[in-house]
Amino acid sequence: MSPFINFLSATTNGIAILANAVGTLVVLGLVLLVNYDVVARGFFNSPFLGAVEVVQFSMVLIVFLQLPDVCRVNRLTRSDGFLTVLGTKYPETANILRHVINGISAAFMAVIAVAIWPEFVKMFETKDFFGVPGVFTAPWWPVKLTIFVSAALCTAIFALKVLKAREDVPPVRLPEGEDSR
Amino acid sequence: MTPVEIGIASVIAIVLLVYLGLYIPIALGVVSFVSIWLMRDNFDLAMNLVKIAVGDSVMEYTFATVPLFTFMGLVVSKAGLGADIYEVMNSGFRKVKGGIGMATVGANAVFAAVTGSSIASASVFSKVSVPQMLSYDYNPRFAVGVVAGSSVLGMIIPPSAMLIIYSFVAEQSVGEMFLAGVVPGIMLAIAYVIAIWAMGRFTPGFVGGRSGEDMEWMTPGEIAGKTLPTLLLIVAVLGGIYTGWLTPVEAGATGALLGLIIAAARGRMTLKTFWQALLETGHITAAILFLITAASIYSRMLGLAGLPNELSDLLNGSNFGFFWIMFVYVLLMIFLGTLLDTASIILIVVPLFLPLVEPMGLSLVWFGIITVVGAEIGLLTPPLGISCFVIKATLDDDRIKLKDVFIGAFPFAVVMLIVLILLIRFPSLSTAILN
Repeated sequence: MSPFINFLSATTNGIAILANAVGTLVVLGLVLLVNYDVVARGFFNSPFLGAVEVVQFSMVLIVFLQLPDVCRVNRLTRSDGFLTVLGTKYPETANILRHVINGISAAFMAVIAVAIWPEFVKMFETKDFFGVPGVFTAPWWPVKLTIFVSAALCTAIFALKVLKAREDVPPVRLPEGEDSR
Repeated sequence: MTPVEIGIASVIAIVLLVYLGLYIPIALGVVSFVSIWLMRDNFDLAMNLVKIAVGDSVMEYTFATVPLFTFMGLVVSKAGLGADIYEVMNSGFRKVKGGIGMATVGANAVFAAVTGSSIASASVFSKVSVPQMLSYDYNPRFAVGVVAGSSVLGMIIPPSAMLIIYSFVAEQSVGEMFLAGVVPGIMLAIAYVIAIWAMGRFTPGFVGGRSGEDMEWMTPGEIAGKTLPTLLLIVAVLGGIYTGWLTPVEAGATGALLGLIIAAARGRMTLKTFWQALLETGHITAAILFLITAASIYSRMLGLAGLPNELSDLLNGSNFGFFWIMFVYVLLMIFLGTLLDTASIILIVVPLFLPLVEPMGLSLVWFGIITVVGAEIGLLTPPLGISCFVIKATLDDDRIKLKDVFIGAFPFAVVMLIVLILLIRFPSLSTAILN
């Protein structure tokens, strides 16, 4: 494998891990925010007015900041029984199949990125917002930008997986943080 | 090809590609994208639908339940609440033949009320109860079978990720789906305990083991210390939803915070495990919601193809009654369950059958329970019983082969099927709690 691809792969992986850490903090923020709203509304009768919009926005952040890392560690939902069995008998064929799969995945992620880009440009120019006017509103463009960057990063990660000669995938995925990971 | 033919071809293509190992959301997305393009001969329309699906489906407010309940489940597993409940149950069942098995079922049922994932239950209990059963000379197949069978409870007893996913596809309220899962879940747990008793009585060789006379009774104080935290969580979460005081999203957040406080108070949470739980929550959320996003492209594609309407015309024209439709549905679920994971089955099959079920005046909440239980049977059957794989991998014991796990789980899959038939025959088992 060429050193250049190695370098690119290390770079995209680094960005994915960083984005993942930020997304992780958003999860914590979500827990705290909703609890704050419950207490403020239930005990002090003064709900946080933008709760719904902020929750919606944090869902976008959680999903799309973490998606590249999910792709990096092969944790997108799949059923790999056939691949595993194939790998034990014909490792070469299985390896080719994995490359084809990563190629298709890169193509689909690229489609998402291309589809969402004009939407971002439009929203950035018009400054459209969501939420209830007068109560709480948030602009659309950061949402679209997050999705675009995420999809572009996923495309790069999958494309670089295709260029690598071989990837080692553990046959059965345990919950994270378990011994064998 | 007509749109309907393209629709049928793409459903088949998706199942085939997923079987070959393509990531499920990618398979749903790519095939739907291409078939919309072919059907309408319009590339821009296909792009547009992708844009709408990706941009909007994640913005659903109720989806915040996914990370919140996932986080709560991970925190309570790491806090050892599952193991505590198990110990209490074990001391209660210690004199009964197959007692540790029954304790595992009971503990799983209680633990399921604070987590939403079968995988979490399977990995917790294969570490806690399988070694103990083996040391009491239980048949290894029975030991792993019990854990596999009862792990399924995690997805049926609320809060459950599968019920959340179904409520999105069928546009039902998450709160109602949760409440509807309570009775069927308890029923399944009781059915398992009865089955274990029957196996101990009629096929003692399959169960094996000796009674735990040497185990000690727990003092009331110990029992309270081990059960109260979990009970508090269950009351706060399910009680909050039932009384309407909390929305499911708020219940999830409250549960997550309470779980965190309990874990911290018991000194079971280090900064490292805390970060790990957050990280895994993010990964699971991203994977599930990306799957849902892709599935929404797929259901738009089905709509454009007119496939669901076509299917319902076909079945209505051939005078299939309720019985046969359900028969075909359950058969399809079990078949797909051997190939795909539960979430994907729900997302692929439900949009096809909803237009069929809705005009029959059947409750969609009830239909959801049937769907989840039916799809979960597949977790226990080869070649892709995911629960069984997790148990095998967690145990890491060469004496127990994957085959043994499947053989051990088989009686429990049969019990599930019997419970499923009862649930279909008596819809009020699922819906009565809502009225």
